[in-house]
Amino acid sequence: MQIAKRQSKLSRDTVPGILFVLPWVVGFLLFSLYPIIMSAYYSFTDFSTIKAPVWVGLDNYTNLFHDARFITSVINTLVYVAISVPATIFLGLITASLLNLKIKGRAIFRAIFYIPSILPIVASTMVWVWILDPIDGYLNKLLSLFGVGQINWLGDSNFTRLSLIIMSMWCIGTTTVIFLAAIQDVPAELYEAADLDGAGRFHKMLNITMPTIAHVILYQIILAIIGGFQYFTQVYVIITAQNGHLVQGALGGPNDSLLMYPLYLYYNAFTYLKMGRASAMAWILFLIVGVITYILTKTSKKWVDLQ
Amino acid sequence: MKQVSRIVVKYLPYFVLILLALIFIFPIVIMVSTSFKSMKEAFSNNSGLFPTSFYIDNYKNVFATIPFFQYLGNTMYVTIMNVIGTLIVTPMIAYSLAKLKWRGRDVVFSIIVASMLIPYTATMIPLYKIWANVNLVGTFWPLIIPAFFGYPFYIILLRQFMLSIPDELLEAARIDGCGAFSRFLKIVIPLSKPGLATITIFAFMNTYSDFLAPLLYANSADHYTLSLGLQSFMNEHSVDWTSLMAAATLFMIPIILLFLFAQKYFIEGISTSGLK
Repeated sequence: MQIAKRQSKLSRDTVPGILFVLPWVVGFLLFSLYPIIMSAYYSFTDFSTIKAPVWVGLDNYTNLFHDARFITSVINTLVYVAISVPATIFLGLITASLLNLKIKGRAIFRAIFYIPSILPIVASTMVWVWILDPIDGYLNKLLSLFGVGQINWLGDSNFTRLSLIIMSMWCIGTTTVIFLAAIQDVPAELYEAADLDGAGRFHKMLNITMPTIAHVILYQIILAIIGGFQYFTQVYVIITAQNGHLVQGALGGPNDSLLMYPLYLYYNAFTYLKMGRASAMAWILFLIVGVITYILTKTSKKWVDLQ
Repeated sequence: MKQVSRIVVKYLPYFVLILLALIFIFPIVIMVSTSFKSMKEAFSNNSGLFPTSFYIDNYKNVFATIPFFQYLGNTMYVTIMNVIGTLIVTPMIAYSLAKLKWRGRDVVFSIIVASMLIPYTATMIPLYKIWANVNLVGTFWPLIIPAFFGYPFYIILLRQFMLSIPDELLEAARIDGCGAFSRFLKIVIPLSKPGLATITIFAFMNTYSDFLAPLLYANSADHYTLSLGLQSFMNEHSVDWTSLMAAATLFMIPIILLFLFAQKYFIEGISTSGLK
């Protein structure tokens, strides 16, 4: 009786249930699944918007690995991800833990840390290019007070990476707010035993808070990695500011140090009109992101479930 | 000695927080202050942090150099259409995933979560080809139409909000003879107002600031959004920094106002999305 009733309830919701998700299903097929499959196909062809695809086998892939600028863009992006992700996660944890203390004006501090991350990237990058200007920029003006000489932040390939990392650390607001909410969600009972043992604040942070919010940290790491591999707008704006129009020249900043993977993909597709090759790049990126996400979620089972 | 260390422990967090806050606010202060400086002052060696007098010609110059209001109008048109699309489809998708029981629902939900991991660059070229085939490159449509099919992030966020609506309420309505659609309209929608406010804000903010999609599709000058229009201040020979900072300030104002008036929804939405 009970089962029969439940079954009829199931079927009663099935038609409206499917009808209501239908927009997403259609959108997914049109704007995600079909493009992903087509981009796999295009990656084995030579084509552009004005030329029909011609099958070329693995040529796009083998050409890419003989392309020095491709290798450069891979290295630039990997270095950026490898440094900016730990740096932003770490700073996010520090700011969140500080905000979690019983402090006055928490909402104001939280707002100050959060706002940069919601500002339009184009506008905030322009502000950074101005701040990092070698001659009139305020960072060098500030550093000169401490006797540091003029640094060409965005014009010297030794400093461009550091500049991008600094800019990324300015945008940790979302991560901070998420970590703060996660820390505040940690049940108070968990701390009681440690209090009895007379554990210090740092000890509690490391042994209770961190393991409890590990799954949130992991999720933010994955999002940060995906974001890092899609890093585009900032370098586009910086190179435009340095050169006027960048697209025709397919410019990559000093010594190509700003040539990030998505920017080179964009050049291949829309400057060189080699959309087959760009599709191969898209698939390589898709696989890299997929593999990293998979490895992280699998291996993390060990450290996330420790709690 | 002990007392000194206690004072240090008590005030050290404030010291660090204030230092960090100053660093975080520094770029915004520089932007606004540069926007009120004359070119001569901004580029002088001993120009201080704050302008010596409020020089508003940079703002006049913004309106003289670019059709600011046209770009703002384009941006707002695309943004509002995205908000409308999001508000029409997201609630019903989220409702189906949160409150209707049907076979395959959990599979659909996992696909939605997984699809958030697809990098935009991976679908960019075929999408461009699709829009080129239907002759819509150069129009606003490629920036608007996808919103009417629901974005994963907003669906997941709103579903999370809807999960907290008590099932008893919906069950009672069902017994009173309410079908799935009228339960949606009469109970779920009114109780989801904070969630709806949150996705409205995120849809607004993300579309307003977007760069890559307008770069690909809104690529004729009369279709520029502000993200693209701001590039006009940068040309090969020089960048008009003072006017550019004025334009950047104007560009940011709506987002900062939105944040100040709806801070609660920002923080709530962000926290919910991260905790899953």
